Amino acid sequence: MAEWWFMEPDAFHAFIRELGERFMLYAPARRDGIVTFTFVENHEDVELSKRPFTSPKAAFLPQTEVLLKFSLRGERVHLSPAQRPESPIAVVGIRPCEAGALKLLDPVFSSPPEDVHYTLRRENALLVGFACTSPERWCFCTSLGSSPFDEDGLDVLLVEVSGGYCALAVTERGRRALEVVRDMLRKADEALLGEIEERRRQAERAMKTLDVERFIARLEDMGDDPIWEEIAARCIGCGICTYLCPTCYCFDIQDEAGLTSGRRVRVWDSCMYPEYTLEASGHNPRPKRVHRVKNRIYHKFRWYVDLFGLVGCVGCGRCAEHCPVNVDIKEIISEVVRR
Amino acid sequence: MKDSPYLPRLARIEEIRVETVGRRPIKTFRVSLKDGGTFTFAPGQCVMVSVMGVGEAIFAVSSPPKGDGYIEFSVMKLGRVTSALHRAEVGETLGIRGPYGRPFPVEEWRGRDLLIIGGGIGAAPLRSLIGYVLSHREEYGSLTVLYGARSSRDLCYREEMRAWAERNDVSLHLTIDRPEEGWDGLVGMVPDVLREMKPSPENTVAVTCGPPIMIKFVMEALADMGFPPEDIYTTLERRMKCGIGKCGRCNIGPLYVCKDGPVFSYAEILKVSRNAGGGGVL
Amino acid sequence: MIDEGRMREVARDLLASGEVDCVIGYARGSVWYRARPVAISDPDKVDMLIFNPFCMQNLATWLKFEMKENGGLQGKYGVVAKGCTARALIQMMQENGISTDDVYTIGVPCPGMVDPRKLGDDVLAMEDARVTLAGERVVVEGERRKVFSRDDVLHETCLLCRYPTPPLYDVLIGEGIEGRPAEDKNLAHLESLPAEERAKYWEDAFSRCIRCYACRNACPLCYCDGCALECLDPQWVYRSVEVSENTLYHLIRAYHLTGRCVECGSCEFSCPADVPLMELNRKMARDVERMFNYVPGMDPKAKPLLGAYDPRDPEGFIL
Repeated sequence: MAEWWFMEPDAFHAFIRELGERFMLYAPARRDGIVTFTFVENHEDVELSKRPFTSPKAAFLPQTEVLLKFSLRGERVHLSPAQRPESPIAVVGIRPCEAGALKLLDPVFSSPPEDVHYTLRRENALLVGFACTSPERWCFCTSLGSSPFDEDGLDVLLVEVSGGYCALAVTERGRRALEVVRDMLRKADEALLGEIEERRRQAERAMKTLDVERFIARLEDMGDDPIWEEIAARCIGCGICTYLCPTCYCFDIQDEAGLTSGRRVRVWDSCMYPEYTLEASGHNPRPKRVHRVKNRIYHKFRWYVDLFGLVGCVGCGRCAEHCPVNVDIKEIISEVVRR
Repeated sequence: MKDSPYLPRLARIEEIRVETVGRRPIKTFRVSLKDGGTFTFAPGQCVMVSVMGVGEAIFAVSSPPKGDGYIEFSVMKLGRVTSALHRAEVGETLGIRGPYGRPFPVEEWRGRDLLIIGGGIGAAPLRSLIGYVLSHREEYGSLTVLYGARSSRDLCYREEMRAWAERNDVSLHLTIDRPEEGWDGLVGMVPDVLREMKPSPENTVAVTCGPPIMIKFVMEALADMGFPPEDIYTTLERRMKCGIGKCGRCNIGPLYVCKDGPVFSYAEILKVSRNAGGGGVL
Repeated sequence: MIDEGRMREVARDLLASGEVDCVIGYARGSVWYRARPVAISDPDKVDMLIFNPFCMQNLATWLKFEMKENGGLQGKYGVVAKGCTARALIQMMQENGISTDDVYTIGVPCPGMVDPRKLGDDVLAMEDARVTLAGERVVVEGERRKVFSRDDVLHETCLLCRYPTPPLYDVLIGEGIEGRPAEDKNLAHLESLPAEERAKYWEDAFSRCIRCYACRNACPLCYCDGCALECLDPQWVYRSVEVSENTLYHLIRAYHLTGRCVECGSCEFSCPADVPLMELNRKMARDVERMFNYVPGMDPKAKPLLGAYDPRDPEGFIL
């Protein structure tokens, strides 16, 4: 079934509803006028029209997660491990770049010792992707080896076409998921295939290509370049770029406890915060914004390459789109390459 | 089913020794695992210690590996977890994860002379190393220890130091920052004393641990005195949360102190110093 | 519109004469509907300075970063100051955060800032455009020309602004503008709601918060060393991102800004999750004004509200 299938809006809703029966649905949904990725109870809340400001990484690495619970009775301490997920997760509406981002998180959490909190969710998940027919101006996935219709890493790829959606089963798991609504699907005809192709071309044409390879090479001897001071001078050191980034994964672990019981939680953390590296002695190896800004860029574009042979950025552009002081990664790449 | 790597093993505090008192006191804790298991570790490795309800912090193991089911770690009272540990009493339960990190390459050092340079609480991992060397004494050449602290009251492991001083196969030099009445050891900052000692780099491995600023000056002094960067080792400290190379914060460039360290050679440090993304490695 | 040429001239003279070491102003962003803060020390670079309807951030905030990272200000700063920026500077002077000698205020009467999101996706999709404020109209000229009513596209905080002209400045670029605040319908509506509905409103808003701290970091008056929100011993707020902790976070901030907030809207502008932070801040500001007849950021010699005692202060809440 490695071919395109057409589904009318009804069939699409039936598909989502059926997924909801077997999976925990994680999808873009509108809440108080804002579209965010969230666990949805009602399949009708799923809204694919707008890319959420958050990335779907939280399905696998929740912003707040209980690692273990404990009870305290004097010298007696009892630990209870975190609960295992009950049903697998289906992420609906994940964009190709975001599926690519999960492939970047995988080596971090699966390398020994395996982080089962992440890997258990990830192993059984179904990724129903949504092709980007109109990429945002901040996007540059084509500069990072991906594209708005990239199927890699997905189980199913959906493309919006006139009158509904076309679905492509990318994996066996995806094929089985579509099988459930088989009766409501019809094979995409020549006209639809042509439309998909045209939309793909349009989306790809809309994106400028940046020379990321050269950027990475240039970073080698740019550790002391004034550009980092220039960027850091306006950075307010908030967590937006890292929290909205689909590939950032840094976390903190803290205890939250009363007198006799409590829990140990993992929460997202950000390398842009000074407290992130501040030691109890008061010593801070990255005391200034310039150190932190540089660390973020170098981590993604050099050290990730050193560690895993992969670039730690997928070009979704969220960090730039939502930065309150317009730190724009595309501009940084162009500027460094231009020099 | 695989276990969470964040799930600690429970341990009992068997003994608490007061090393130093003052504004930033140091205590050494001796613990055993409640499940009856033993710790397998090598000098230089660390353990993540939990005070349940307060949090976790990482400490160098300060006892040598003996396979006797105990480990010791020394704690300076600085933050929330270390303060909670200083309030703890014998019999109380802690959580332990680990051991983590890359230990001192003691096998590689066989046949070499050892120069061990410590400052303050930085003596903790060195104590584990010295204990190891003393129990494998015939495998190593001469053993020279230079240890310093702000004042005589701030020196850790004083009883052991006394015992080492009496051995004829250890050359021990103690130093304090300022002169004190009744003090018959050396006076001066560790890097300065080291330069005056003029140790020979000949077939010698130098190992140092202490406050970041001391490590920096000691390594520079050693390099000046002709020690090749490959023969200078240190063990670094960073704020850590996971201990297993995932939470991100302890990186120096592409290296994670928890996983790729905490033991590094000066050669490795020089290599990552460029573009390390920080205010320097130390 | 502000005479950018005059503003650059002032900045150039200040830098060239050594009157200031650095000018903090606005520069063009990477896209036409963004501007960005910039710190200039070289008089030859003042041509970077702009003032357009996207200069939303309060530049007083950048003095805070200078102070925090360098243990105090390193020299004298020229600051391009809208009404709210100048008020933040005044408030910082009042609280002894900075002194009058630290800052040269380059006052700019502010006609209000445009909220790009209110322009709509089709307008934002234009490759390049120029936006001007002319009286009641906002004109966008790019591949297409589009005219909006000022009331439809300005940030709410700008529509409600009472002090577009700096109350205090060393130089003013152009003529002062009188404030003509719109009626605060949102606040009136919120106040009219029953308690449960208000609670629900804020619960929804705070549950969207991702705790990125952009609101705090963008705030010129959140400059405390050792912020209560990061204190671990005691830990007032857990890092868990859930509605109880998020509420606590925002309430602590709102209380700490009461009698201090200059209503610049930088917090709300910076928030990626659309938390209506200014509604909270305005509620506190209006209450303070009603109860204590006090408006922050107007007079550097005035005493901070919570640092002063007046026997006539209402104390109805005690009895």
